[in-house]
Amino acid sequence: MIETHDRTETPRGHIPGEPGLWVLIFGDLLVFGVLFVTYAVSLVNDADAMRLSQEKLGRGLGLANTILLLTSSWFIAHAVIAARRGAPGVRRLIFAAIALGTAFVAVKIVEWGGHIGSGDTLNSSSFFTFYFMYTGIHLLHVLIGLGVLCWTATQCDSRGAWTGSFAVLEGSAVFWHLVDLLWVMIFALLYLLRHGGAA
Amino acid sequence: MKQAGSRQGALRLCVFAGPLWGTLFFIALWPLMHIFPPYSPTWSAAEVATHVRDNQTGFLVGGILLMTAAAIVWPFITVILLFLKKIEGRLPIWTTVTALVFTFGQFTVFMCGLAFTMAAFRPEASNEMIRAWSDLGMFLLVIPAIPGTTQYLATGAVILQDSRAKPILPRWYGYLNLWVGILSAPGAVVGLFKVGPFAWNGIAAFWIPAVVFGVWITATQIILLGAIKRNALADEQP
Repeated sequence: MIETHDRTETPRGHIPGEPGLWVLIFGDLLVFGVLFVTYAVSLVNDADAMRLSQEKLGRGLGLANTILLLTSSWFIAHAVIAARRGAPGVRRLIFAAIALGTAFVAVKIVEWGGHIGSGDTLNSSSFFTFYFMYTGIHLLHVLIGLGVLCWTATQCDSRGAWTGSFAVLEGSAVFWHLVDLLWVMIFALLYLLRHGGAA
Repeated sequence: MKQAGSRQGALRLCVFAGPLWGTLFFIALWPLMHIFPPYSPTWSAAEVATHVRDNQTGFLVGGILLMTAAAIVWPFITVILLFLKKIEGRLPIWTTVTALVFTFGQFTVFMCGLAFTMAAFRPEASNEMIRAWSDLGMFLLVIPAIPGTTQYLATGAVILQDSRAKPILPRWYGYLNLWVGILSAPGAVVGLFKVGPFAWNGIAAFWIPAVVFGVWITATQIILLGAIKRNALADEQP
């Protein structure tokens, strides 16, 4: 791989990762936008039934997951900064991001298990269909993201300094931030936002 | 070089099997069978049977078009595979995976045409029998999202591993394939729902995959024609 970037300075008009990656990022955001609007319409049209189910969601677990992913994103951002400086310890930061991402998956499994245990499944109400499907599609993104991060972790030398293409690390970080951004939207819409009906 | 020129013409011709496939598919579903957009999964057996009986000829001719589409798409798929193989070189693992899943996916298109043919073949059959075959047709229409996911991810993986200074196929197209692959996955759940966004006529399981697929097949034609123009198959970069 040819190193095209100066490690200390980001060139003017620099596109993080590579331009093509943004087809995936914006494409995904666009589709999630459609999904969120679909949910919002349902929330307004079916306010009472939706709220009844929505109140069963534990905001604590949702918040825990938000913090886990945001912190994970913070670590990967610092991995990019460290790699830009050519510093060692990039791998440690990537591992920290992976660990927090894995914890997110664990919390999600506990949360799902709780709902399924108390009888709220994929098909039991309109809200739980949205809940399981949206968090499920998001979880698919998390798993892909974790796979990508594991792959980047293999591209460090014995000191843990970054040896691969800079665009690869930056692109992986951009994808991980996307996963984070989508989760914040899901948390806000599914866990926090409640439509009061007449309000 | 003259030889290469005439091969470019043949390749270009092959690419047009793609839009032809799409056209046949769309004619079958829309003006012939009137199932674009799809009927609701909540329809009673009598409603579905009435729809099929009212459009009997449309269903039978549409069935033929779907099966024909599955039979004539291969030159288009072959051109895609030639470029993927060019990228992968000696050990075309993911090209082979793509080829196998393509084959599997077109089999479902063929079976879809056959299921709709079965639904309309004997209009005197019971309502339940007609609905069962028609439902199978609807499933075969949307469920190829399952193998499709593997196919798009494999194609994306091939394109993104191209380390040539000037890639054989553009990298954004590789990412586009990953996008299509990830977003096809929700189509897998149509069996679980009769209403809502994930039912077979819903936004998430039908409209998003349909639009995304439309973007994919259009982009594929454009990048294939571009790569043929550059004569990328004869590219000798290491």
